[in-house]
Amino acid sequence: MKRNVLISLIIISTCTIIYTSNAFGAVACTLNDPDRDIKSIFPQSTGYKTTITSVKEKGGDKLAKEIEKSLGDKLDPIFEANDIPHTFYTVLKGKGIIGYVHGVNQKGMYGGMQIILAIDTKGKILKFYYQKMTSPDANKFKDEKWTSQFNGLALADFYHHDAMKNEECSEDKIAKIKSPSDKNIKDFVHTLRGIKMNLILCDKFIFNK
Amino acid sequence: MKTFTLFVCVILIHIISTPSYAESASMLYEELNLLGGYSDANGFVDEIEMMKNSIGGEYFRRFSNDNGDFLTLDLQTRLTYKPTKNFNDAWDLEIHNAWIEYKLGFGYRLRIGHFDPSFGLEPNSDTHGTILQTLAMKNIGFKSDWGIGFKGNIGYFDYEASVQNGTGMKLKRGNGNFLLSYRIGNPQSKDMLYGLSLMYGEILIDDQMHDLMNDDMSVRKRRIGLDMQIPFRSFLFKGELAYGKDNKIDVLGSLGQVSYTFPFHQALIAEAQVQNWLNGFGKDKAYETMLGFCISYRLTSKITIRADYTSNFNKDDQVFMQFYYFGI
Repeated sequence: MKRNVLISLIIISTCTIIYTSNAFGAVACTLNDPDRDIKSIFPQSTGYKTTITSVKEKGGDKLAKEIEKSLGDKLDPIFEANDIPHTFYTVLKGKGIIGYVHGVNQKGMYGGMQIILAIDTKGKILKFYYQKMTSPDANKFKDEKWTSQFNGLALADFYHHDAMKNEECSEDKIAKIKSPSDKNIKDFVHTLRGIKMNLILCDKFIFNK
Repeated sequence: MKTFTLFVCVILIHIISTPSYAESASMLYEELNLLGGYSDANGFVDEIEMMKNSIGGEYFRRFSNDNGDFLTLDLQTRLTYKPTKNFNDAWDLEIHNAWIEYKLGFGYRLRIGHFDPSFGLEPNSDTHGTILQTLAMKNIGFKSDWGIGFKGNIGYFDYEASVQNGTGMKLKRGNGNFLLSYRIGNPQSKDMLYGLSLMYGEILIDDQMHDLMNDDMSVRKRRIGLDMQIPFRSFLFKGELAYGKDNKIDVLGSLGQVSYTFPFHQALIAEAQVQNWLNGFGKDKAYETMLGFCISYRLTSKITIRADYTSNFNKDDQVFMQFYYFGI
């Protein structure tokens, strides 16, 4: 009996050391119901291809630093770790590509948000929605009248918005979008970060920029 | 039955080793589950329902061609170890998921292999690594079974139906065993999820999920169930209700669970669960209530630690710790 417990402890300790020595990575944001979601965004689609990749696989720490620089913020070590798998859905009509869908996890004020973007083949947002949103004002944020303001925007618009910080610019399309909630304005800031992060990942992984 | 098992294994091995005529997206997750605790009734405990000290993995792969995805494969196994047993008898291999799913069109899928029966909360909850479980073990006696399933939709609603073996992990025939299950509910993409389930089967009673009793006692089970999941701010509420008969005995079960994600530190989650189970409505009725509290903390993106307190009231109180690793 004592021998068994000892052997167990040795095995467990060994496994723990091996496993914790490179500990990072978790399940990323995937569509809950991809068939229904993709058909609803792209009614003309005939199918989709799923691709799974990670920052670790595509460039590791170097790529992570590039993403942080583009984002203007640090990546979360738990929810945005390098080896978190990112699932991209390439939407097809026949054999041709008509768009892409990708989701990211983003910290919100009350819990995690899941920010889903459908983009066209040039990287412009066709549709943005929250798959998950934990906020007392979730209905205001999820309102399509509000989310549709992001339609047509691209990553360049977010870079331009960053460059125009504290300056008035009529071309700054992001600055024209106001928070749907005064009380939970931080969730608006989190949303902008999540959309930008999503577009950066699409830029790196889909368009290889 | 051995031929069927062999057939499924050959198909799975063939798919895993599929050459490059089809594109694929795959992930291989590693898993380590270390747990132990103390129970008033049993002293040191090294396992709880559906969970032992184990090392394992999950291989997930999607296959696609020029027209898109057409096939999904999931293979999830654990090598378990019980330190309180003789070393040679302490090891066991558990198969959790072992299925392939063929996409028949948008929203229509055919699944074959070892997977969750279409009943209650279980098919829509990931309880593979969690201490708190659903009513599946009480209702059916196991969480996954061998068979064939179909998923489709009727207008707004999604449904799934399964025809399974009624034995859980071990494939065995010859006792009239079978399991039919059906669940219809609103789409998975909605915030609030609800469903209605039906189940009918001749289930072989299982001592452990991997090891059937020698006398192969069977139970005729009939069930109707309701389940729902409601997110509200930082809370997630889950509920399940099931009524039916085990042979001629009425059974009634309920589960309520609330999870709270701490907004200031979202790696920290507190959960509370209550389960009630009533066997028989007459003089011989047996009533069981279980109350569980669990705190889980995500140390890194791969590692979660959990502390759990469970009370079966007058029968037993138990504390339990878990170290859980799951990642690529």
